[in-house]
Amino acid sequence: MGILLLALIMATLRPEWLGMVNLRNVLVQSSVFVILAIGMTFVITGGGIDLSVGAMTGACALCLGWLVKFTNVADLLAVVAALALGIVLGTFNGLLITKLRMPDFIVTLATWIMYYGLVLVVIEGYTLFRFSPTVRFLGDHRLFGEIPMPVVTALVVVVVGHVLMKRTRFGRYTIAIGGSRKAAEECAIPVDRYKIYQYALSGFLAGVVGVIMLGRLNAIHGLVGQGFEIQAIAAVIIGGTALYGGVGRIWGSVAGAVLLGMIANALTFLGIHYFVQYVVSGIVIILVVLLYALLGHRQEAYR
Amino acid sequence: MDEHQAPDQSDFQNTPLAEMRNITKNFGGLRALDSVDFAVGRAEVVGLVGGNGAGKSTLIKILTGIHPFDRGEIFFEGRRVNIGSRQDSRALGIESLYQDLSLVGSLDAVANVFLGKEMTKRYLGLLPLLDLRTMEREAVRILREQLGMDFSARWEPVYHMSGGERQAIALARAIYSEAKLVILDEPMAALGVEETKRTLAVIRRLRSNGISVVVISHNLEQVFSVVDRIAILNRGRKVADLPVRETSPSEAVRLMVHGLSATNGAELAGQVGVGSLG
Repeated sequence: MGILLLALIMATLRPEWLGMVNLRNVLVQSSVFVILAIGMTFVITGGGIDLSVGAMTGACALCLGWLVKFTNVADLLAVVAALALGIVLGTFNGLLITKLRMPDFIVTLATWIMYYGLVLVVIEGYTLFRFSPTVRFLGDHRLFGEIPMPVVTALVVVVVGHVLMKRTRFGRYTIAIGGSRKAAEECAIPVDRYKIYQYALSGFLAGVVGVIMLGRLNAIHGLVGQGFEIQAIAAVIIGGTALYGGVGRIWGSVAGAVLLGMIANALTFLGIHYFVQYVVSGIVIILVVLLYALLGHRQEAYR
Repeated sequence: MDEHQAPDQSDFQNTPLAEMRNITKNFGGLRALDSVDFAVGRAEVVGLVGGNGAGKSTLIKILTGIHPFDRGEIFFEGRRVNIGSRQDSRALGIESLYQDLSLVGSLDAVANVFLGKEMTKRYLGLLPLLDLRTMEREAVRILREQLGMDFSARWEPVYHMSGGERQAIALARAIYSEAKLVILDEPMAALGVEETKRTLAVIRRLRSNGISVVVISHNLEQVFSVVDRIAILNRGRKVADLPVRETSPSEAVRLMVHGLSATNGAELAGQVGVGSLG
């Protein structure tokens, strides 16, 4: 993980890129992925994976936008409802995986497509514009006039995530379930229940991101959240969490998300074509994982 | 087959801790166990040996609730019990440690000892968070006092540790769960010479702390060096059950393989199974 920090510093060596405005941009862009990555960290550490976070983000953003525009629901209530939807969608994932005993990958792949489809069904090709400041608070407001709310939210999520992972039963059981499900069952840990919690958390955070996105874009359309799941998973892997579970690196995921954000930002700054970012990000992932392999970190659960 | 168990142990009662009577178990057409009696006294170490397919694992799985049996009875602390699941056996105080040890490799020793039974403390009056400090103290204490191993300041993930150390951690977990009977299935299979000695010492330590141990092993030399009594199975029947002083590894091997008592010494104080191999 130290390597990641080095990479961050290295990227900072381009002078014109260090301007306050740009740094703020980077942080704001990254914070969305940081939040998703935290949720994804718990899911992956627990041995699962959540491919549907991008779609859940879009669904929650749409929920918020729709409630505000087409119903008389109070703004604040609409935000709460959108967050609740995130929990519901996430829990739905968790239930399918545990009760139907279906693999995480397949379930979240299916719900990814399903939620995405639902969003499109509701909104078709339209875009909803112009929302009130209350609704846009999480995405647009600046604390003390300077610090963007997304960054604040991300920080809060990271701290809470750290405490959850290291200092609560939830975090410890997540690590246990991912590391050795058999051992966890032997110790009478309710594996199913905790898996559902993991996915519910992922869904909730997707809801948070959905609300943030609506605030930032001041619009909602069918493509919000697309591609987020890839970024989230990539951030977690770069951050050092083993893909098969059992190791949970919260701060690593944060670094991973920020790194990806910086890459995107730096490349834009240098005027490099947008799509090249994907190629670069992909190369970075491979390099980082190779590095881990050389250092002895394994991607499999430790026995 | 009850009151004359392990006469050299100082028990506070003479009834055995655990007693399996007349256990018969079939798997379809295969008779895995045939009228087997097996008992473990308090603070006694019993060896359970036999060749492959002799029925040792089956017997233990019945005791820990994994398999039901077709005929027979089980008594624990003098009372008849019905062990239908692992939870049942654990509730009685029976813990079994298998070769994979059921540890979570990426967690540290303390976390593994308390896995499933963590202590929490309420911070700020509200949130229950893990009480790491107390758990560490407790774990180190158990490991040192009960197992004779010093684990202070060992916070690395368990997968870094040697087989013997991991076994100690698994045992510490069993002790913390207040196990009365610990079953070790091939505990020394993956260990080197030094660690084997340490494990044998740990077993003796458990006994002196009042915990009974059943050791299943293929290595008769090791078994003989640590157990009080040895029970030998052959093809589903118990062919000998003797205090260790009254027999030898070579005789044990003979009994394991042939199922006949080659000497009359075996007909003494213990049970000779009705191995009608005629």
